[in-house]
Amino acid sequence: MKTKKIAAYGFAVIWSAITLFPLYFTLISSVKSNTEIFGLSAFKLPTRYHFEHFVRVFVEAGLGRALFNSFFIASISTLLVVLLASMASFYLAKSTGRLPGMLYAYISIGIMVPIHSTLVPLVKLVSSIDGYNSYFTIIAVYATFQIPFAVFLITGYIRSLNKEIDESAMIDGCGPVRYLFTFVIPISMPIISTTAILTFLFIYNELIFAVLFLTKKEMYTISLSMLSFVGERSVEMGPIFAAIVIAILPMIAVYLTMQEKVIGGLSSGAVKG
Amino acid sequence: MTRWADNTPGPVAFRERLKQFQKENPNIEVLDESITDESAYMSKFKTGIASASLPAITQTYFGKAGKIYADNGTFLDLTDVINNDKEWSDQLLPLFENWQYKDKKGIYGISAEFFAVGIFYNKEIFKQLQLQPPQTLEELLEQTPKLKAAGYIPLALGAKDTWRGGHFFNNLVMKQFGPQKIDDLASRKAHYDDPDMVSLFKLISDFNKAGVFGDNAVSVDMNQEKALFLSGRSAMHMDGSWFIGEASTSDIKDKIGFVPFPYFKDKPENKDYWMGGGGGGYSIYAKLNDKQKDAAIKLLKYLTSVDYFRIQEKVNKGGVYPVKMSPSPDVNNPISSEFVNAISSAKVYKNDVPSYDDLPQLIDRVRNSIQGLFIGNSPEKAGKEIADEIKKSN
Amino acid sequence: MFAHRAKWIGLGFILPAFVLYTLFMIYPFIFAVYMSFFNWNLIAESTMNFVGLHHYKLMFEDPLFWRSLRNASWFIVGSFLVLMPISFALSLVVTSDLKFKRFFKTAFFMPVVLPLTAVGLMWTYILNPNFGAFNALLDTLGLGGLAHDWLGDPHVSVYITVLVNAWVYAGLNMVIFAAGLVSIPKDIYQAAEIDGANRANQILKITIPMMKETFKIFAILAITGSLRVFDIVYVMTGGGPNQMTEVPATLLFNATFKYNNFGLGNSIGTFILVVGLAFSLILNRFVKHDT
Repeated sequence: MKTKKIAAYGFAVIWSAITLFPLYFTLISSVKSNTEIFGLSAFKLPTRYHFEHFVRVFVEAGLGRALFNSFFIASISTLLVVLLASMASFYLAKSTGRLPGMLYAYISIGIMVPIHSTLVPLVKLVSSIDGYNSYFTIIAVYATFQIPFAVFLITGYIRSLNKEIDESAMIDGCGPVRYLFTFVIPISMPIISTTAILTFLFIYNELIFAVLFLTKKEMYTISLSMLSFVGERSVEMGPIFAAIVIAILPMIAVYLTMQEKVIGGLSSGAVKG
Repeated sequence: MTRWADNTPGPVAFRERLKQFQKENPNIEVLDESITDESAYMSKFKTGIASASLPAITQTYFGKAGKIYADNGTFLDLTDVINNDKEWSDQLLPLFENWQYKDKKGIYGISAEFFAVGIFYNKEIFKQLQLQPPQTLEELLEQTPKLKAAGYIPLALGAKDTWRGGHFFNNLVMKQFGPQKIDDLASRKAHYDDPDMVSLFKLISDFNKAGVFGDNAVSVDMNQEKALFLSGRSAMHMDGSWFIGEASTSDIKDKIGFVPFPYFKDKPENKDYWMGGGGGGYSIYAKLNDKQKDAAIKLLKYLTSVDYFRIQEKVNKGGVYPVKMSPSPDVNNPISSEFVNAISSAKVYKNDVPSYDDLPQLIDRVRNSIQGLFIGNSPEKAGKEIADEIKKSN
Repeated sequence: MFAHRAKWIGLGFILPAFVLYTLFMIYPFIFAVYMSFFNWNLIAESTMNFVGLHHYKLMFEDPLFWRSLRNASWFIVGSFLVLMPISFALSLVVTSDLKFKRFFKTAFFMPVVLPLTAVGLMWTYILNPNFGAFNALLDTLGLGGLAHDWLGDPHVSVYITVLVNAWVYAGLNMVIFAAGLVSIPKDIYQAAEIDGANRANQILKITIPMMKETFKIFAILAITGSLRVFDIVYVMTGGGPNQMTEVPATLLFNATFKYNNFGLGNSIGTFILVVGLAFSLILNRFVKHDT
């Protein structure tokens, strides 16, 4: 057993180094000038600390407002996705028959659609409902594109749950709505938290839809405001890295909160009688 | 909508100018939708055209491939605007050819920049090695072993960004053949796999093998290329007037000089043919109502007046602009002065060679094939790839 | 559960998701598929000509397209050979009783949190042949001879991109596997231990079979994701050098947004979807979900 433990620790430590190393790179680069980031000194500590990058990202790129936008949009969209997808998955996982089967297939197709194919028609649609620069529209679009993935994950999970409780609930006269919210969702917390984390992440870092649908500076998300440091013929990496450092802090917070639910979740399973 | 959305001095001044316009014209609302990243810009542009919701003024730089926008009435023909306001239009340098198309009357854009490409060099390195910056390409090759022995990269080229190789190629064409060749290629009279064109590809390939561009140039992008020059590791850097601002605020600003792109020893008559001309420009969306059109035109003139370019000159510490103005005496920048001096003898400017062709994907095709030279593809292969692309489209 | 009158409640459950999804995703995509049969240069005012299967023919005849498929399949292979084992191993670590679990959890997930563009840029520097840390590391380990121009050498660049992709998504798939792992009741393991099964046996005979559904989810996501891969390739190689690392999605992007060939772009898009669908159906056949 001992060797197994050592091997496991060894593996974990090595992989942590591999994953954290770029973070170190981001951190030191966030206070470097471009020449130091790009040259031989890419991985050494900076000779001059450009802390003003952090100031610049707030002043020039309006990162404060962008942080709020990204966080707000991502949160609402995630809530929406989790709610709608849970409801849909509950129905799909617990029903038999052709209709649910077809609907499941219909929604699953969504994970195979290449986003760029939909851009042109989507812009046409959004422009016809004058949906530019609207929280409402962008949240709807983001939620839409995350729903198939969420449904896919959650349905699979619910399907693998034990069916005994369903029967006892039905016998007890528990209606579907109550059953969903008092039993299924709590038991599915692992997958729901997983879905929530991934959904939030994707929307938070998303770029293309933001570029197309958010044109006013006050509406910019983080990815958009970071672009302001990308020049026409050159890129100022220092401030971009500073922006990244600031941007990932909420992400890590969200991850840590939700992670407890995923793994600290019911590992014993309420289904064992 | 332009690509000037970043925080370098030029675009910042651009946004200031827009604000100024807004102040002076309170009844016109200006919304700046600029985005710098090229792929994001193209997505926005294409989706805008496809859904008939393009911004009023768009920055265009498509070369002859832009003809389809003229054909489809996307952009306004500005000939009348130009003729009706001589006070404004006389100030403009005659750089309209980017927005004029064969078989189609009219001028569909106004140039927003004027550029010329040459070689910035590190005076200290050359002094140290007792060399003069190369005047001919043969000299450049000769100097390479000395520069390399001293630990310098002669002319770092960021071949990862395909347009770097492309620009180098453009200059070669101009110095070897002059502007006529470009017209011949566009009219398909000359071909990219003709032996004389292939010889240019061979030159690039040979230079790369000799180490002129540095090791593994294909993994170096423009940012790294510039960093190599600005940190003193590369002796030379091919760039245009856009670089003057950056050069003037860098650590080695006192060491930077500028010379024209080297010519071929046996073709001194071509030495005044430069790569350059009108760069990106403004086009006006034709689907605006009259009031919007007038507002857009007003803004367009505001952005292309001498006053505005004076401002740009100040923030960029020099540079050249698409209007008739001589360098301001307030701007005391030796780099800029050297630049202006060097281009004073230029006779003809031409833009990207493949941009004169109707085929929109030709620019990328040429650039990609040139990049192929850096991974060891033969010059013949490069020529053939391009020629095949043209044949395929016929 | 949803038999008889409850059926209407059930349909009501799925309705909101259905509406959003159909409006904003399906309708645009159907339009795109429809347009793959037309010639259109993406200008609203110009005409659209019906050309039938012309774009599909062009697509299948283009060697670049087949190259892009080959590259995409390397992503699929990489997902199963590299990504899957690593993610699974990581998920075992974070659901076990090892100390510092929380630290590991966060560390492993870090790559997923970073924006893909930043990740691409970072790795590009690390892999830089002239001053990158990776070659420097090889040097210090005495393996300097292996040093390479990782992204510039067309023979290797695809594999490198696949590996970086695996690096990014290991953390993400770890979370998916972890969710599956914790749903297995602990008592089963206890029973097996009493019966004398060691850890490795337990994993092989209990964990993996009970996670069939999770593995299927992983497979479908990996395959469809590989077919659609765009950002990482675009940032690290731009599809180069000289288009050696193009993948279907980058071709799609260029065709639609640079070369005004909307029809061709959409035929690629349709193809990506159809192939993804085919794989998913096959996988579904193979892994039937049971209680």
